[in-house]
Amino acid sequence: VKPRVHDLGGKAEYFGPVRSAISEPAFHQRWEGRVLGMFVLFAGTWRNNIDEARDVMEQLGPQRYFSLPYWSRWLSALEVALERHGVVAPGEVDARAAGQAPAASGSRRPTWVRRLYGRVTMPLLFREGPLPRWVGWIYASLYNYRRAAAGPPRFKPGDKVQVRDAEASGHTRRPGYVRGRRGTITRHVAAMVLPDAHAIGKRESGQHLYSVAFDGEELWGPSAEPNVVLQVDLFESYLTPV
Amino acid sequence: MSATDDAELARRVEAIEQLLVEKRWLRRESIDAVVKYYETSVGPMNGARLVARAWTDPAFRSALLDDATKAAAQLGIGGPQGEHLRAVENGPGMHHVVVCTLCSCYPWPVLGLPPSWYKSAEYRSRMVREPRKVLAEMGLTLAEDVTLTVWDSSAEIRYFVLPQRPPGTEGLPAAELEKWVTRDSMIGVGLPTRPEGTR
Repeated sequence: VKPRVHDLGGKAEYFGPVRSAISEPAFHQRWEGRVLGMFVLFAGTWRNNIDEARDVMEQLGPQRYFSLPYWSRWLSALEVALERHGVVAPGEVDARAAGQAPAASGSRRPTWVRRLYGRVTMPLLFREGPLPRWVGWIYASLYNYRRAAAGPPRFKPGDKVQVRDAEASGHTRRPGYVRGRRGTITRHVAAMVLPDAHAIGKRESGQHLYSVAFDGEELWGPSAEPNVVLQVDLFESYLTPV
Repeated sequence: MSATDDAELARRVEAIEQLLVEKRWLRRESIDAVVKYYETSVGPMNGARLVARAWTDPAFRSALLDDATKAAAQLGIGGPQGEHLRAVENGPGMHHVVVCTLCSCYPWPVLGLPPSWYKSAEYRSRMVREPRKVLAEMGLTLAEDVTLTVWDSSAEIRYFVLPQRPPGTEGLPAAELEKWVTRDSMIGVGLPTRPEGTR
């Protein structure tokens, strides 16, 4: 298991001034926008592989994760996805980037539906100005993370819970700073895709997701700032009743 | 992969784009459309429309707080990273701020792509540990009796803040109010501010 460096909440070694700016361009380099464009395309044709992408980004070495531009993390995730889904052959990108330009090899070609999406539908969706209502509606109803759960929710608002402390074996959305801590359910959000399973392509039924409130002191002890509540969205399997 | 600087990264991205075009997965124009869309059609102006509408239309405010995804779709706002939107409302004695400690989750359709500082290790590590200090450094000092709620976007819910309507704006139409609503006020690291050149 490769180390995961992404889980930063409360880690003092990363503390420093926040260099905020009033506004900045969407992309600082041309290639960044191209990465997002290609990523959006493949997210659209393969449905919601964001956890797969996060899983890749999380396993990048600290040098790459922290020192290179943000969008280079997405580039890594894109490359892994393209190889994993057989869209490019191993070594094909290297060869092309090195200036050797063999004709694109016989790796997987798009089905007509996917070709239509990448060549025709996508530019229609991403056009200038506010989206037509139906696009927002399609996104909200088709591209969402809700999935039917196997059973009713185990917890209800007001219930006290403790976050499981056991080490995760792979991708998870349970931040380290809440592990082993006690909080209170404030909302049952919905039953949704469990990222831990989604990241490795497992198809499971949905799992109940809750908003859980933690007092600052519960997380950080007496040195916590006064009157602070942390709200973290946590899946049922991350939680035990108190 | 071994790319370590912008020139190398650019070469690599171009190589991938060439391959995908040759394999007929996409056209360059498809990528152009997405890039242009993120450069011009999403951004804090979208969130400002939602906020100003909520300030002037109580029914819309309720709808926004009840189901922000649906309410935003009514104004043509939606898309990737906006599948599950949620607005959290500031009030007297209550302030909200948003962070993503695990990556950089951000409500793209409402606020655009996240700014660099939001994605920085400093913001992500500190905002849950010493949020009042970070806010004060960013120019927003909260009284101790104000409850500060920090939303860590750890799942697929994308939070944004519905700030309080500033005093002195009574009677202003939504189109004017939109100009008061800043990106930072919807992340929660700032408050709505008087637009330049007005009094």
